Amino acid sequence: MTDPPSGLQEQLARLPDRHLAALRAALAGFDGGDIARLVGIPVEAVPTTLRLAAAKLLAALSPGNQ
Amino acid sequence: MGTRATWPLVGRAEELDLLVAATVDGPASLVVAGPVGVGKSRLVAELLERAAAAGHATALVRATRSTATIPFGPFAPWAPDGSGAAAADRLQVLRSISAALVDERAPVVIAVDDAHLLDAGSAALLLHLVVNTPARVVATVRSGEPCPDAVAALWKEGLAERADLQSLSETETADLLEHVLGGPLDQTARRRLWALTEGTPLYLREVVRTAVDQGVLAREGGRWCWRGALSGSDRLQELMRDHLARAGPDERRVLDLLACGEPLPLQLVTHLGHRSAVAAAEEHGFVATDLVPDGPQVRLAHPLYGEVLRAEMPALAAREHQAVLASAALAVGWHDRDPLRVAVWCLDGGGGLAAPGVLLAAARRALALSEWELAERLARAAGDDNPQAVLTRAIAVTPLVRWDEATGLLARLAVDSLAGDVGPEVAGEAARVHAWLLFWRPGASPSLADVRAATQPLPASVRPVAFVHSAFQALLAARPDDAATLAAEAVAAAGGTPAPHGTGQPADPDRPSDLRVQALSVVAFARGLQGRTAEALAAAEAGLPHVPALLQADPVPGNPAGAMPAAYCLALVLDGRLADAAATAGMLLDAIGEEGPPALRALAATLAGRMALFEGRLDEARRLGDLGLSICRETRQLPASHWPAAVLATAAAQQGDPATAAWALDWVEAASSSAGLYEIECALARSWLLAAQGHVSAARARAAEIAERAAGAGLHALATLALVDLARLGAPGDAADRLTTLAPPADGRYPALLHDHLRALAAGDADDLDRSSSALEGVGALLLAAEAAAGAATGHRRAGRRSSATAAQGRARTLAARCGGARTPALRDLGTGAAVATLTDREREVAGLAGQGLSNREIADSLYVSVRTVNTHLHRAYAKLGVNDRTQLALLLGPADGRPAPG
Repeated sequence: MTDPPSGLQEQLARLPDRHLAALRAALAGFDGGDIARLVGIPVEAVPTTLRLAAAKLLAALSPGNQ
Repeated sequence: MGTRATWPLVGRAEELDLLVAATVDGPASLVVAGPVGVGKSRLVAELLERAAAAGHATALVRATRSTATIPFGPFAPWAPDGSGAAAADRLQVLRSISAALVDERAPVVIAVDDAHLLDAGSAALLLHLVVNTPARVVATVRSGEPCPDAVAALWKEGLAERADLQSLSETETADLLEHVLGGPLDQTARRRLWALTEGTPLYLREVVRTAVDQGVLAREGGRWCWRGALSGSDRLQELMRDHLARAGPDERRVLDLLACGEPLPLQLVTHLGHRSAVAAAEEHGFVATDLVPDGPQVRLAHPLYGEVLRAEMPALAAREHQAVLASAALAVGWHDRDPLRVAVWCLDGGGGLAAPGVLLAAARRALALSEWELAERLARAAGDDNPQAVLTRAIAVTPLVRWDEATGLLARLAVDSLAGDVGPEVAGEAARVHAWLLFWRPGASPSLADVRAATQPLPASVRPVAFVHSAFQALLAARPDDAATLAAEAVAAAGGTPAPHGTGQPADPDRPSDLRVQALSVVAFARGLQGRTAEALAAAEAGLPHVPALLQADPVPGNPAGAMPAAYCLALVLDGRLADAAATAGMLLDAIGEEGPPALRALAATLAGRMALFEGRLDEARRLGDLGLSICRETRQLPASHWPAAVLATAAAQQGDPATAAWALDWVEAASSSAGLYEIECALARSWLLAAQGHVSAARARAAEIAERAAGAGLHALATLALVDLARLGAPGDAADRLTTLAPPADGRYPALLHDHLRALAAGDADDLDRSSSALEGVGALLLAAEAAAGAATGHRRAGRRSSATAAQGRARTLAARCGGARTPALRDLGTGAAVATLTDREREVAGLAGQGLSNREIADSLYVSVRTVNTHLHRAYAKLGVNDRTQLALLLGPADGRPAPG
């Protein structure tokens, strides 16, 4: 028996797929080149993409969205 | 809605913050990249507004394909007289424009839209502005398009940060749509709009506009529903045509084929000689290739390409493309892997190519997908002389409530000869339809003797299957004892013979036959409904491990094993394990996944929603009921749509949203008649709807009637639930009086708790209600626990025990806060103060209806009392509450439907 899906999963689902993918890849230790290939953006755009993704994640997890 | 010039900027808050921080608050420059229609221009326009509001000068430069050939064309408004294409010294022109744009003493924010289209001079100017001036520049570029070197240098050389704009997520898309449309969308509309546009705002806007214009997206009872198919619009075609115009003739041929049959296996495209065209189309972004277990397959890069290509395609050309696909698929043997699509190509392309076996296999696949009309069409094409095809048609038209046609088809099968002619599986299915028609033909209500008589002429090998299916139908008809009897007769009739439904089943003496598992499913559910918890659990646990394989091979509707998940969850609830029941239902839904058989998915979603209702998690119950109903509506499972409609309506009504509840129940009752278990669930939902509409007396009468009916059918667990609802609707004394006769004590922890709770409510014993609240919370029944605590607070207050009342009220509030916006009658006093608690039930009902704007005459008619009586109740209510008119009354009591309908 497992617990029902947590609210966290629902909040994560608010993020666009590519932002979520970029965040997960970064957390898993992939480098910028890998993340760029995964998400389909130039490597120079990776830092900004990660900043945006992190900002979206924080917004999704803010009390107003819980 | 569709006439709004500008849609709100939803889902872009973080991007806008980034741009503002860089260019308004700071002196940096930025490149915003993204695919067409993702909202780059809209975002930049918003940025310029922010910059202007902050006191900065702004300038917007637009590059287009037409300006791309004119030196400095996009910057022409800032060019000095006499410059332009004729100017001899381009450097001088560049400096002049720069000087006109940039005031060294004040910050300026310059936006250059579609910078990938800049001519060489303008691109150099852009670079100059970033490198040599204090201007803050924001340039947009389309990702995947070639860019002038000077523009690409901005991010490649670290001169400007590059932000890639992504399409909106599914949730953001839904938020945007609800904002724009001004109301919630049903699950089908959400899914379709997301699938069509993949969150690209430009496409979303055009698709929504088109869908509303065509009536495909329409309001039903306050919510936006999707019905029918969308045709392309002029504007959509124009948008897409711009992109597709770049495709060469060979690429276009591939795109047309994909529009008729995507995704296509690469093997098939190669067979047609289009491999190099696919490579070119992929390079240009028209198509994408996915690697799936069957090998690479090709699809259009955006779903809207297909919509527009199909809309533009003459009918004859579409048929030719499908005929080409059909021939190629048959030539490479693809029909073995995907008979459904190949058969449809054959039929739509002119027919005559596919063998009956392919058509029949396709029809069976369509049945599994609940595509009833398509299954019937394919089976019809397979031939009138093929008994399996005739049977498939009978199965397909039964859920469509085409009873006479199903009966006629079945009669043609000459069931007596089936076992020998077509094998046990087909015979078993014939027995299924036979049982279905026996119970559900209009006016049918077969006794056990009728069932036995109708089953007797069947071959001995078919008879057990007919019995087990009849048992299942008896269960759905709310006849639990008959269901259990027939299930036992099915097992007895099977005796020691091999299971008729179990072809291919390994000879494992410890494993029950498929038929026995089906019988156990029926028995488990029947015993649960009767409140015989231990028997229900024993039957469920014996059969449950073998159910997934059965449902995988033969999904609901129609498979008696489909009753097992509900049976097991109900047994867990009765055993007081509500969280386990909810988790089990949730796991089932997860395991089926979005691509699973729709009938099974709808069942699992509804079951999970029903379990959430038991727990009092109303938001979740509402969402899952809505999902189940959407799937049923989409796949036209009309008889099965009653249960999810009941779950959705109950949750919505308990949230104080009668509009959604009424929509769900009215729709489902208009779509098909309900009977048996579904009818009881819908009737109970309607009693909650009546309460949410303020007709509390009628709601109680309905709940009492349901309790009587359920008890009369031996459904004592349902009778107990109905009596608890009667008490929750404000008639605990009446409910308790009926308890002994209608719902004798059942085994299981939960029924025992409900009995205690009901008696405590009837006695108004605050201490017992406190205990009841704790016990109910302990098993996970949060809403009932909250209501018990609210009742305890009232009892303590009446007895003058202030601190106990305050504690109970606080506890009720805390519990209610976990119930997804619950606004049941028992929770009314939580938000309205102690004065409301002093009203009698009748005063409260009259005041509630008056607060909704009903006249005294209307209230009198509704409650079957005189106008004078209404006046008396109303004036007493005014006096107790200290109000003078109906407006104040409405404000104090809150509107019945005051809660906006969420999605």
